[in-house]
Amino acid sequence: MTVIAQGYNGFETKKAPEGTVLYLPNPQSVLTLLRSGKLKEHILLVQGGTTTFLSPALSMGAIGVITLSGAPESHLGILSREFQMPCVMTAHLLDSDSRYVTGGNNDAHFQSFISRLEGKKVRLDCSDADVAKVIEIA
Amino acid sequence: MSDTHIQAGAGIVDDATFDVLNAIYLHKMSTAQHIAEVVEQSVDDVLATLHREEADTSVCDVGPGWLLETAGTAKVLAFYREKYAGLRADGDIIHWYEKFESTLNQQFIKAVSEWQTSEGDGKAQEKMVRLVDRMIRHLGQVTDRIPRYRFYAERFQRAMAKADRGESQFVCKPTVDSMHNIWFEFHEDILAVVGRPRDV
Repeated sequence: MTVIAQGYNGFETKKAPEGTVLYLPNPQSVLTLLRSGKLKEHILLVQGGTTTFLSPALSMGAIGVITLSGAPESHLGILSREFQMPCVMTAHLLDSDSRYVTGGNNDAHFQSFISRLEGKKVRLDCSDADVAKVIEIA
Repeated sequence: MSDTHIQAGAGIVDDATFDVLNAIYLHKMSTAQHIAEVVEQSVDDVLATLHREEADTSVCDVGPGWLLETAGTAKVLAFYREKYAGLRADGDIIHWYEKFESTLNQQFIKAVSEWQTSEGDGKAQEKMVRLVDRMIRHLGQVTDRIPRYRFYAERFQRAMAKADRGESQFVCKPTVDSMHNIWFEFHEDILAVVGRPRDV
């Protein structure tokens, strides 16, 4: 097992959900996931901390979320605490210097993260007050 | 409950249909009961609209609630574009929106986080209530141009009253008509009115 990414922690929790990372780029992808009946098999990856189209997945029992931007005060941070669902925010790869830049062009940063994690089986460690980790599990 | 009537046709839905679809657009997933409450239609009328729109692949029932399909979202956004084209060119409403975004919204989001992380501290809740009070007054400045915004004020009043009686779920819980939930829906609404994307 290797810590491959980390970010801000939405809230401190002992929950350590495991699942296959699934990138959700738009509302239609959320609908497809909900219809598949496999929501709880996935850790959900989205770009923005203010992503609103994820709400139905959270209401239906999503087990964990990774965002590529946003702070714990942003929309998904607030919802993660209400649903008590672990959330790693503004995550970055530990083997890369690439970081999210507020107001910048983050396309390459987002794409490298998505390519590295999508389809990987991971565990979220949100037990620290500030830093949350993404652990790749074999 | 929409402000003026827009004839169906050319891809623009009628007011009552917009209200139902928009309730889902704002809430993201809604029960017929919730829709009926916020748009002031009967549950039977809401269900009739939902089933008609389901046949048109604009909405779908995923069990706990109704979601918009791509076609449904397109109908909602087309209505906003058509109905609020004039307002989008109105400097006063843009200024009003920007004041909300830069002051009230930022303060409210911070207050919500403080309330959550303090595990429901009374002072944090009071801060949220003060901001909602200011928001109600802020809404009052534009209800002559967007009459349906008075419904947000009424919903805020109901949520505040319940929270004040100790029903703390009406502060922030996403699955009831809480202060944060109403605030979130209004934010989605005004972004659609002025045609701005949500910051990420």
